[in-house]
Amino acid sequence: MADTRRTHDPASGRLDTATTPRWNPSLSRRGFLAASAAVGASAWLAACGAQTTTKTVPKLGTKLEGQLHIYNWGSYYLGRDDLKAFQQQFNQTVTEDSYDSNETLLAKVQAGAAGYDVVVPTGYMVQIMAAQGLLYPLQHDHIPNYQYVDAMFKTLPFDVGNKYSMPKDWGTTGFGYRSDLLPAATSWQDFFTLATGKASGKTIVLDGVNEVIGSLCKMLGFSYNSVDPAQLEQVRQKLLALKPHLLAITATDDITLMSNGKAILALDWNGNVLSAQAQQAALQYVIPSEGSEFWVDNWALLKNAPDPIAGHAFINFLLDPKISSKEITTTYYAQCETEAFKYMDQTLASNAVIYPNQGTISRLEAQQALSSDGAKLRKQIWDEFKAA
Amino acid sequence: MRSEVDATARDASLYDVELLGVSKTFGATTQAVHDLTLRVERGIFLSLLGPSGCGKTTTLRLIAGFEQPTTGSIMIRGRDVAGLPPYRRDVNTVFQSYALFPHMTVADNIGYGLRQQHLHRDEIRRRVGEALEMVRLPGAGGRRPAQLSGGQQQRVALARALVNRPTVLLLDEPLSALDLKLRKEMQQELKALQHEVGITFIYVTHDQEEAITLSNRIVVMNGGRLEQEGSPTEVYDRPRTRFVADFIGLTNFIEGRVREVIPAVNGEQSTVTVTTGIGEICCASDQSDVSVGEAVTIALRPEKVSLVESASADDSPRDGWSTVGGIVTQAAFLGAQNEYRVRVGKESSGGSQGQEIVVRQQNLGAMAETPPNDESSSPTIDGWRVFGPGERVVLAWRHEVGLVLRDSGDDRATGDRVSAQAPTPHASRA
Amino acid sequence: MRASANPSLRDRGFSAIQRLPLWGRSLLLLAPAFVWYGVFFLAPLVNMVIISFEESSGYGGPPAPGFHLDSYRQLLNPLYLKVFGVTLRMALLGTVACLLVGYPLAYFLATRASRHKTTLLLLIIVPFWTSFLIRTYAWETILDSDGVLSNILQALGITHGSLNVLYTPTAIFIGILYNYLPLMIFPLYVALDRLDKRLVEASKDLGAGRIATFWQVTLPLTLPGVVTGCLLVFIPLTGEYLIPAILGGSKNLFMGNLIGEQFQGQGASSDWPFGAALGVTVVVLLLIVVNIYLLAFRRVQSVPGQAG
Repeated sequence: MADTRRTHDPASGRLDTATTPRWNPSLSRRGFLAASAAVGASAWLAACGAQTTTKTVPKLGTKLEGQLHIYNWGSYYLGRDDLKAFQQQFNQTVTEDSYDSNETLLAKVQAGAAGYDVVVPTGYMVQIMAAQGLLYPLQHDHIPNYQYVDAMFKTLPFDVGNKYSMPKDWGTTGFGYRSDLLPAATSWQDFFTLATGKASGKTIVLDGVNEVIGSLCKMLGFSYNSVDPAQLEQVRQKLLALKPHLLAITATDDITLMSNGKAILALDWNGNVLSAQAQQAALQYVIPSEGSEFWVDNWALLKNAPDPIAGHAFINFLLDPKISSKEITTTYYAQCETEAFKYMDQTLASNAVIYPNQGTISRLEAQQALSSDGAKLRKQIWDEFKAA
Repeated sequence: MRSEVDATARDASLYDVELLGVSKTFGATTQAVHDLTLRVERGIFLSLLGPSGCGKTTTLRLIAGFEQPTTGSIMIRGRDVAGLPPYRRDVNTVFQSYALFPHMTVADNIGYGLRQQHLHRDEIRRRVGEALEMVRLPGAGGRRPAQLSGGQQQRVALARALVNRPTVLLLDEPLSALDLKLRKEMQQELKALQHEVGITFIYVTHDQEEAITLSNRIVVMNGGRLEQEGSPTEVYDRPRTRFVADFIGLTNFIEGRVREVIPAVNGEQSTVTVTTGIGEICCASDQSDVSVGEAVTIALRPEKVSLVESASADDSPRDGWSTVGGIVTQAAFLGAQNEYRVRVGKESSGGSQGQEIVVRQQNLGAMAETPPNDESSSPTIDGWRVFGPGERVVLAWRHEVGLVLRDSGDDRATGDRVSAQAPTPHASRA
Repeated sequence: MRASANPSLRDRGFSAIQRLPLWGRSLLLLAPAFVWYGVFFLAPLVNMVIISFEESSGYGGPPAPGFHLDSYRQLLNPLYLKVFGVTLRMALLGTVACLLVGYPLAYFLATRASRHKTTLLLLIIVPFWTSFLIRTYAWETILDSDGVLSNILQALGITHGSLNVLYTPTAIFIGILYNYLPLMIFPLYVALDRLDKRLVEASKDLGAGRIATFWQVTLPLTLPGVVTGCLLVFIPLTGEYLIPAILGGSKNLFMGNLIGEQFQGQGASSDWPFGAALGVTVVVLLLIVVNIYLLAFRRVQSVPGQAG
């Protein structure tokens, strides 16, 4: 589930100092502890501070309405300074609302939530929303900064050619382990062996059907998005064998459990493992050798956006490498533009957990929307895993 | 609890219940019962009488075992029951509000005690049937208490207690919830029932009339202490303290100082002469321990005073009689009696020394109203007639009727009833 | 005022109401309640029933309209029947445990606490002033292997090594007992407090000891409190969601979690129609169970001689 990585307090993502404020778990609580509670919808920012930025202007001279409405995971998933700069530069008032899951976003939009321009769906949700005709086809000539987007993000299966979405940032699913307590691990097979052996009772996995089933698919050499019943049957066997060894299935307590040392092995996203590293220096994040998933969160416009022109301007503004390079200091997730490295804090740019090398990236697969039958089959396996 | 050993121990004692120096203190300060010694003879109907808060209910609860005495001991049939819980005492209680089990039928209520003794089911059924017959409720066994009237519930409560054949039956104001007519009926039934079963009844009440009607013995309590114990006649006619005289029946109190004491000779009563605000009053008394000069109170029952016309009264009173003149201030017709308030005093003119005496005369006549001073139409029987306000009369009573009560008897008593020392007749009804 | 030639509009309104028959006026007064229940209770319930017959979209979110029995057919999958079974067992165990712990406590409060009664009752209520969520998280801290309880037990030498209770069914059970106990205590306390103490005295007076008195008088007469308390605990327990999620580490799936997952789960793990079907089934099952329970209770309480 993508929300946790987006909802963690960016301050804690820092790698450099121990004086950073502790990660606030309440921001990462899933579902009932809606992250939206922590952050209001207000962003009527006073236009102060002499922040000068780029002079990017939409090529088409259409007049902006003066109001932009963003529906995002939370204001901590968008740099405040960058937002302020956008408002000043384009003389726009920005209103923000927040949601806590892709499914909430979808349900709201399907139910006819009107008035939003910009939304931030994860890859598979772009696919679903586009298929339902909920997204505005992007006018690439309004987004000149698209040129900076790396090639690998222009052909992703959920939106080939970026017809409906522009990549915002990305991350991976892998596992973290305590190198001081466990032998070196490099693969999903190692993860499974440790989980059912040395790390039994101290292993946690994400409370997410796609991540858990997808990861075991990779371990068995299948596609992360496999819906083949025979393959999934093998995954099911492995999951049932894994279950008794788990401490918890959680996307809310994972960072805490890693930080306080109760979990020494965790199937998790890179950002969360990074957060726990502040407390447990020996925690290592691994993108397994069999390959894994990378997820991408995307900017998109709603079909019925009140001001699509301003929306385009906003997306284009944030794709400016000078701006996106600053976004990373808010979100601590990898940006999708090589150009941004020029302007970036080099400790972040060189962090292999945020930016894996090309060899690793080539082993990653993007999460996709699954066929209805395949999704149902995975769901049954998931329910059985949880009930076991 | 009904073993043979106990049975012999029971028979060894003359008394069913003995309280020996029993005190009960609640909390740090509230003393409900103070140093009470009481022996209850077998088979009698004893009433514990007193105003609310006098300790009578606490005494009952001490006997029942709901409370444990702070000091002193309690014996039931000669057996010390100290520390024994209620269910180990051979007594049963009829509660003020009956305390019938609402979730059980009448039969189950009555059979409750028998079931605790694990008697055979047929035996229980037989005895429950008998008990229902005894309280004249045959056929009501299948009903629920809530379906019965107050009187019927009362009978069930009685049957439930008596069916266990206890040594002593304790009754805590059992009739107080009933209306007057039903109460009178139940009083008769209770008395008959006690006669029939022959069990000792200890009956708590604040109703002096009920106590007098029902009991063989009355124990008057006040402020946690025993004021007087005796037969109804003794308690009524020979109250030993002002409290008892006041609480039971209507009494005139005349305060004064002893002028002369002639001790008893040859079995006769001693004669005490008291100087009071209404003149010198001579009393024949059993109490010869009063000394000259002591402050005393004379208690005088209204119905024991005769009222005669002033004109016909002798100047020199007959031997053995006290007389005092006065003026009728109020006359009330009570049905069976006429009640007068008569202002008396040295001058009988309402001086500061005067006081009002209440007098009750049996209504012997037939005329409801008689105009004052109309002698021709006034029917008289042995000099009896009805008086009206303003008439001069003479009050007369025999010497032994006036009771000399030592004021010290009131010292320990509490409550405004006793402490009031008004010059007006201190007469009240309990 | 009403006789005036030109009655005000308000007066006319009044007289119009007064002309209504009694049932009409009752209806008028009840209208706000009807509207409230209609909009906020009935309508969502009907919506839930409708959704339960729709077809899952396969990727979460609102389903496609239609009439399908798939969701109900899915219920028969042994996997979900097992979840039903586990949930009912937990609810029953939790209810019985609350009763066993709550009754003596309520008894003490009602009969023995006297002077401290108010203080003790307050102490039971005070935790309720904080959110259920926070209280449950507090238990997570207490039961933690490095937590307060573990340290105390080790310091006292009662256990050796840290306490490994968190994220186990035992932790869930403790959480349930703690959170639901007051729901049991209050009806029991009210029943015991209202119990006429003279009935207890009468029982003892008639020769029944403490235990016999309890079984024959106290318990039967406080049975309504027991019934209320059990229902108050049992019904929400069948839908308990947070405690298994927090103290059970989401490893132990109960009906509430299963239903929650159908609506809040990520992507494929959510399935609105199935969740709705589970919800409808739980409601129906509870109606049946509760009615059987109440019928049985009424039979026990019924008056044999009341036929007349």
